[in-house]
Order: sequence, then C-alpha cells, then structure tokens
Amino acid sequence: MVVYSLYIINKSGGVIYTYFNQKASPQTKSNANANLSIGSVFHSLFTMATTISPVQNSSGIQVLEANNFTLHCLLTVTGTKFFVITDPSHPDPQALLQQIYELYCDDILKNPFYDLEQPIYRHDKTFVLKLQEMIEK
Amino acid sequence: MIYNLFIFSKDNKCLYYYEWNRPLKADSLDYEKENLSGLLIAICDFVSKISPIKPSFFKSYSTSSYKLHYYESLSGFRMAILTDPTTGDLTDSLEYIYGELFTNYVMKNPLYEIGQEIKSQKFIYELDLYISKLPFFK
Repeated sequence: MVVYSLYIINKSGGVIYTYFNQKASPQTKSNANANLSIGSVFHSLFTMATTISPVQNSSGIQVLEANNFTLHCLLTVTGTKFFVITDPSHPDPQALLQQIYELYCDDILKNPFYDLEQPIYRHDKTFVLKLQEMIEK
Repeated sequence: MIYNLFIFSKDNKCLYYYEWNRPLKADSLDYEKENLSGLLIAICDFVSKISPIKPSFFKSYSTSSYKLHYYESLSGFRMAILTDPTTGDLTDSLEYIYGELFTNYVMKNPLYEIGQEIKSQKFIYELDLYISKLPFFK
C-alpha cells in the first residue's frame, strides 16, 4: 500500500519534479543529480521498449515489476510522463497517477507564472501539501 | 500467448532465439537482439538504482501490447520471454527452462563450448515441447 516515490518528466526527458516519501523509506537520500539521470534513463527505456515490440503499435513501458517494488507510468497526451514507485501490494497505482495528473493540471499548469517544461518550484506550497496528503494517506 | 524467447550469455551474445506466435516479423533480427540485450542491461541497472529496498532484481515489464519476463541466473545467463500483456508471472517457467532444460541439455553437453550459439537438437526439441504445453501458449 506504500508509495515510495514520484517522478514527473517533461516531454524531452528532463525531470521537473520528484517526491520521496520519507516515512516509507527514510534512508533514501534525494540526490538531485542522481534523480535527473534516473528520470532521463527511464525516458529512453520507455522509447526503446517500443522498438523491440513483436506486435504493431506498442506503447512504452506501463508497468515494471521487480521483486520488491513496482513502477507504474502514465504518459499524458502532451508527452509529460508521471511515474510512481510503490509496494507490489498497492491496490490501484493507475488511479493515483490520474489523481496526481489532475492535481498537476489544476495547481501547476493553470498557474500563470509557471513556464511550461520547467522544473516545478519547491515553494509551491498548495501543490506539495496536496500531493503529500495524496501519497502518504 | 507466447511470442518469442531470447537467451543471452554473460558477454551479451544471443545464444538462442526462437519465435512461436509472433504477429509482427522483425525487420532485422540481429539488430533486435542487440537492442534487447542493451535494453535489459539498462533496465537492470535502472532497477537497482531506483529500488527503495535493496537488494532488488528486475522481473518483468509490460506495455500496451506485450509483456517481457526476465530471468537472470547466478552464472550470468539471461533469458527473456515476450508474451501478451495479460499473461501472469512466468518466473517458475523461466526457472524450469534454466534449471532443467538449459543445464541438462546444454551445459552438461560435453560438445558444447561456452559462449557459442546453442545448436543442441535435444534442447530445442524439449524447449519447444515445454513451451507449447504451457496453458497460455495460444
């Protein structure tokens, strides 16, 4: 049921926001450089997965499973990618991603001072608080 | 439905490839093998980096139209099976293919040189038999 982290990636593969659930894994240190590379690597893995498809018109990676976590990815029509890393027992990560996307549209995109494709400011209090509530509940 | 299977050696050479119900034929199979081998290395590295609890290893990923199941042995052999996205966990089958078929008919074969492509008829026959008997084969 635990959500470990969230990444938001813009359409060119740059990381614009990361969130780490400190309650779930306090030992994870958020290292800005490492996070940037993780986001960009996922962006390319996502694209590479379509090239080896044995079926026509495959999307990119939607779910990635490892022995102790799963990664769910939501690709929006504008090319922004959201991905969450959760415990394998989480009931519905896709619904959570959809909620986060709605929150992003309302609180970030509708803000007239926000530049598209640029990192989301950490001092955007309403967004961060609502996100925290959503992820940690 | 099972589409195809790849076996890679420790040094990323494709030792064996077979396809069953693959709908879209590959333009260049060599290119696809290299691509997949690179993708698997990158994903394993990615998984170990993002994992909140260590150690962790990569099991599978799925897209809208296929699912890739992955198994890596302790000796460095890597196997990938591509199926349709509704297929469940294939770890047991992959373990069986490695533990029973690959070790018995390839590694224990005195004529097999490590790192060469697999040409053992017995292995190919047994693998085909095993895969085609799986409940989600068709």
